[in-house]
Amino acid sequence: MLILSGKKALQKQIGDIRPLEKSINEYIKSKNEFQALLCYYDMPGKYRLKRAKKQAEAIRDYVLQIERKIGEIDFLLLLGGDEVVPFFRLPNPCDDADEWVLSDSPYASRDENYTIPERVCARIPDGRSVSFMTRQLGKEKASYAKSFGLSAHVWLRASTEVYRAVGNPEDLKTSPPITSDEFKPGWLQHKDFLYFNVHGSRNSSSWYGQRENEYPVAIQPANINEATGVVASEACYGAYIVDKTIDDAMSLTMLEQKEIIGFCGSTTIAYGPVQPPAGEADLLVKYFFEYVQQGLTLGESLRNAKLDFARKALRRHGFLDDDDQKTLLQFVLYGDPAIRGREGNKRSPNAD
Amino acid sequence: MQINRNRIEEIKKKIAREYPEFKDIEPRITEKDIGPQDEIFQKLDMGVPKQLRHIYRLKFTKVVEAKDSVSLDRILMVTLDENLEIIKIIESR
Repeated sequence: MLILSGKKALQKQIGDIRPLEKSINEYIKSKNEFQALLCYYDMPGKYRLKRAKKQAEAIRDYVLQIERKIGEIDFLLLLGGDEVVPFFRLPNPCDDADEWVLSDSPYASRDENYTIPERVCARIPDGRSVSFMTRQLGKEKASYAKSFGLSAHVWLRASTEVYRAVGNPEDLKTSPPITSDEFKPGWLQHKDFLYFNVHGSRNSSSWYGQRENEYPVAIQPANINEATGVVASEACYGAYIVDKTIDDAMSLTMLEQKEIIGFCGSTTIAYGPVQPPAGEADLLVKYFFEYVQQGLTLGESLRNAKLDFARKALRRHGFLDDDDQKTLLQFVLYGDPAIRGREGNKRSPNAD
Repeated sequence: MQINRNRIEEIKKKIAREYPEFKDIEPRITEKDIGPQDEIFQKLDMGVPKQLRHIYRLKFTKVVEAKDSVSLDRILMVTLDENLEIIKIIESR
């Protein structure tokens, strides 16, 4: 596993980085099943590479250069948010309001075809807090054998097909009638999986339900307390963190929780069907959950979900259309990619 | 086969019936050739026959206001194949 960051930018975001470096060293030492190493793209290192500028393309080149020195890197963990390791700004394949698709996919690809990942890539956002970052590296998964799901009322049928992978569809809650006013934090506690198929906005930290023309606030950061498990959200901008703080991004609020081990979501406008069969975000999240259930690491689960998603789309239609491509590019994983949501398959991530 | 006004009206009626929130919205219509995606097939080790496809897109958009006054962009997209059959209908999340 390669753990990659920019030292100067990281210091600017979180101040003294020594506690984080200590946690990373402890993390590396604790991983007997695979090798891991920390590199700063802006500092001289043992591989004598030319330092990279704080630009996504340059940082990706830096990763490829390290690969040429040490062999293939299966797992890549980016430390920091957009201000430290910038997201790629990719042309938006869809005709919608997003100027760019913010994406980590190029970091997961060795060639220029970014839609299909070859390695695992995840990110630990900085949250402008050193304790937030160190917390992500020491998380452990408890097992509760329960899940929680929340769907916009209009997408109940579609959500049911996804949620079936991790929970009893009869337990799936819908908004409305659920609103943030009645939302009980306890619903998110002692759970293995948290699933959200709701509306989101770049300009709001809340997620929204829908029934016909009614759009209530379904959940907001204040509703989250001691939540647990693996989170997957289909909300538009569910993983949008640019210029956001822990308190005004659901993804960061989730990760702040001691027992939330990972967050999978979209950086931009996401799409899905109203009813089965699952497609776009629904299908990707369904596959992600299925792999986590099988005992793969979170990072492998998202990578495999993207591969399966692409294969399914090609078999269905013979091509990846605009929204298929956008789905593949926009979904990111936050958290430790080597952690498992469920005990089972023990295949290890390799450093080379 | 070229998309025509009759087919567009049929789809608009279907959308009005099944997705009433998009009733009376005039869709933006686009069409696109999709060439063989050789590199993607190769990267996935798939041997699907290569072919040129032609698709049509009807995009219905509106902006709604959530309960807390936040604006939400709502998008519904209908994709048709060369034979003007609906391949899929998707909505923004």
